[in-house]
Amino acid sequence: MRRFDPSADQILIVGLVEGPEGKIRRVRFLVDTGTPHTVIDAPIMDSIGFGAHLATARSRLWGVSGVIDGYVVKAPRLRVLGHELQGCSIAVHDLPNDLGVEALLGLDFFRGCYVGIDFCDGTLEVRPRHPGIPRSTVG
Amino acid sequence: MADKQTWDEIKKLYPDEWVILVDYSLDDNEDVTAGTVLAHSPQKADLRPALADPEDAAILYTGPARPLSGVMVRFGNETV
Repeated sequence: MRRFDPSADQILIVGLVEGPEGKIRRVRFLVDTGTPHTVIDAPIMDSIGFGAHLATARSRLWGVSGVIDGYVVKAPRLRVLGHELQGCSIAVHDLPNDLGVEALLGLDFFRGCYVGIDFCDGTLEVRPRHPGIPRSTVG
Repeated sequence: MADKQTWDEIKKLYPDEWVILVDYSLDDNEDVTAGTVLAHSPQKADLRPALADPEDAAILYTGPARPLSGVMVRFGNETV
């Protein structure tokens, strides 16, 4: 379970992503179930070795401000909300400067999980529904 | 390199800026509570050179996040 500010306009959660050579970046994820895939800002991913040369697919992010093209990589480790995912796909896009966040935690992160959001206490809980899904709880 | 500062101090010193923090500390919620500012700028693109070096760093915006979409409703002078 993680705490968030229930009076803020968005739910922001700090998480960690690891690059192919073990470099680590900690960023703020905007919890955004309106985005199907988890997205991390391109310069941040590039700085840990995830350039476009490691792309497994192309991706396209639609928003009210237009379309941003990017690519998909497989990250060795993504740790958010007390859960650690290994080998998960992350879309890499140049997020707008004025967005004020470095990453979007998309719907894919929550699939197969119970998700509880308590706006009275400001807590967010993610619990795998089935123990066999490839993620581990780390705290 | 600057001294380690609390997140509250960093937000006051660099309002509405992107910061790269190294030697950062976390609380039990895994929120960043302190760190050493390696670089800062209102423009994220300015941080690209400094971002390449550290093995472990936090990249955070000190201001509020902006909505991706949505409607801001204004009643009189009040925004809700």
